Amino acid sequence: MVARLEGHPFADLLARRKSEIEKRWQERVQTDGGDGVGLSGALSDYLEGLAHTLSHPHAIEEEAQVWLESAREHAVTRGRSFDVHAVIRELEILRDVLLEVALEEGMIAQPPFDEIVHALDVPIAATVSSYVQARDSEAKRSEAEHICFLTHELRNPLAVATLAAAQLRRMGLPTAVQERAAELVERSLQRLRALIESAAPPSAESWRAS
Amino acid sequence: MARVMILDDEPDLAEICTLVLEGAGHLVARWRPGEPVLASIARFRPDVILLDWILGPVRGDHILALIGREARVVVMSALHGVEPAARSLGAVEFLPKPFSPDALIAAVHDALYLQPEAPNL
Repeated sequence: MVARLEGHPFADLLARRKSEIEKRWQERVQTDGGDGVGLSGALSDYLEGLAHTLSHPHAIEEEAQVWLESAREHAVTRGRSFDVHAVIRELEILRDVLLEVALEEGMIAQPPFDEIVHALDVPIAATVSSYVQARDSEAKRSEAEHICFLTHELRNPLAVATLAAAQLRRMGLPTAVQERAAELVERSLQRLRALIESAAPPSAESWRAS
Repeated sequence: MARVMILDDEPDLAEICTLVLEGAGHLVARWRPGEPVLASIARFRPDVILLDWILGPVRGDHILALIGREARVVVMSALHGVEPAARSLGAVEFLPKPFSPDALIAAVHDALYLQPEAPNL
């Protein structure tokens, strides 16, 4: 469905009662047991994005990009420190508050009420998707960085062990050099083992989970 | 015989490279972390420098940018993707870690004999 909402009165309502909506949402989230951390700092942008969506004579799906950009930026800023389930719950509460305000203003009797619901649901779905994508992307980036770091760290003791082991195969080396090469092989193996232990999953459960 | 200086913040790697190169007949000096790099190079006057790309707090590329046009530098690194950058800054050879003793000796040899003459430091 592509709804058209040019000059929609709900956009005016959002601008007029924005502070009240934010306050009501915050109280509702706290009552619900959440702390509002997920959308903390982003709610004002979301409401402005929704008003923008409603004020423009374009397809809602296209205008949802305004919300989407805000959500993506917020998710990337927060990195992996937010709980996606909490964000979804906070968006649900926001949806309830907005519909409640619409009802208070008597908009339920107006024809575009379905469009309001649609205008809320589309960007909320897109926002949740954006959060999940940003979280997954951040997780992959962190994993790639960790593997790169670990590979670099492993190559140094591996280089020492490779050189020292090759030295031990040479004939006619002074005993002191042979002993030192053997010590370097052992030390490198100890370093390799420590690095692998520090990077390995601590249990079979975490291995399966990964 | 050549004068070879090793700049690597991994003491074990610097030591085993020293053993290999001394076994091949070279005179080797090792830079110690904390020593001023350029002063150490100027004091030893090496024919070839083995330079680690990441030298603890000192970045190998910074050192290379200073000396890469003036000395024969072999860059060693566990970061295999840095070879183009190293060569663009003047490295004459690149040794990806880990490497064999033969590869190390060959890199020093090639730096000495297969590269255009570089002025002494």
